[in-house]
Amino acid sequence: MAASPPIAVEPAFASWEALGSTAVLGVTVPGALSQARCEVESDLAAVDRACSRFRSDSELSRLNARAGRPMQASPLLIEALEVALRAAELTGGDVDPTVGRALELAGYDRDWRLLAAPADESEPDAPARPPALRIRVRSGWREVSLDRSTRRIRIPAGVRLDLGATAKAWAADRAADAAATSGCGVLVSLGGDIATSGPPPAGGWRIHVTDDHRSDASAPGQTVSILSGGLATSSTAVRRWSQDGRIMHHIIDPATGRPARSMWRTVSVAAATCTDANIATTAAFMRGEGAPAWLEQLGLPARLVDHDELVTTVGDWPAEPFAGHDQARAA
Amino acid sequence: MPGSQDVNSRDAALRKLTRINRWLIAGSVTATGALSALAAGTFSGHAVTAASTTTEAASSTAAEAAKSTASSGSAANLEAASSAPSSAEATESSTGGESSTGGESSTVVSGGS
Repeated sequence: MAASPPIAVEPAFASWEALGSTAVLGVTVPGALSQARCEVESDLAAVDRACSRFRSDSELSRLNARAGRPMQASPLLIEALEVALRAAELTGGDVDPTVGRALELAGYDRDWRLLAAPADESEPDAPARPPALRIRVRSGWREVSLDRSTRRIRIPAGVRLDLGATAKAWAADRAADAAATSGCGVLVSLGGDIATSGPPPAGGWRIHVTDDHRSDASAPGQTVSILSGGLATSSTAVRRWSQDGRIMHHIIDPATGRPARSMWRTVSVAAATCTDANIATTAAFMRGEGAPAWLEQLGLPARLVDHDELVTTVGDWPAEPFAGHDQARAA
Repeated sequence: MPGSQDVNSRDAALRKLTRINRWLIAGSVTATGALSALAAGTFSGHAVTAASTTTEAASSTAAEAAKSTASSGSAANLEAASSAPSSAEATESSTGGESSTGGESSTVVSGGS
């Protein structure tokens, strides 16, 4: 999609809590903020009712409870699942929606803000004591059956879906498009996953990439601007909790059913949509040192930070303005 | 006692049977190979990746659904934006608060959540 001409008006912003995270809405026409917020809030509420794993009354919870039996689903859940299955297809299963049970076994069975905060900074899979029982969770997105014509979904018995790897970014894309119907430029950020629609402000949308979306622009990171598309950042440094003395995080490696042990700490990617950007950031954790070459092959500009805070940039991602050779490298 | 003519007839019939058997064996081997190649081309499999931990025969429904999505609007691959991010000077604060206005300080933070 070609970028629209920029609008030479300062954008207006609003932020609030949504989908268990922070929603930020920016519009290039300040007078359109209230209406745009109504559109975004309505859309996010619908997505939450369909896709939340933490709401017992959500469609996804009902689907998970009916594992092994078919269920007729709303068009919204059908679309969300199609997005998740497309992510699995395009990443060879690195982003797999069938890791719900693995997330629960890792302790992520409620809003993460209610989970026990980690007491130290040891890595996942570094057990304080030998586990009494090791359970390997089988995942398999290919076993999910989805029939769009009859709107029926069937997941294998014992499998629980989690759409967290794609639904938030997809919701940001949807919300940005919904709010841009009035013709103004729109930015929607959901927990740091950013989608834009319509004409950007002069100079583009300014975005500071860092470990934690709750930080401010003074946090270590880099400030860039985008004219269109989406930008997503995933990090294992934020959504962490403690389980049996081990530090866990929310990015599950489908190959092991456990929190990914990756050389990367934080990955940011720019793409045509926030959904595609988010798929790429999540898959990058599983691809490890092969991630920069994979992103380069896809033509996706990216910034990857390893555990030693060494920054690797990919493709046309702008170079770090103040980084020396010992702090940054290009893929 | 069979006559020499009977023996010759029997030997001729046996040689004919031997030739027929050889042709049948050669033909069945060739047909097996041809049918295998045809089946491989018609019902191609999928690459087994480390991420796909299921060893059972996988249903193609999900893959077909993913392809259906791709053909109904989404790209068949992860799609790059029309323009790459450009460098921007860091600003002193981030976006936040109800209906805050923009300006040079209106920087949105993208980070893990």
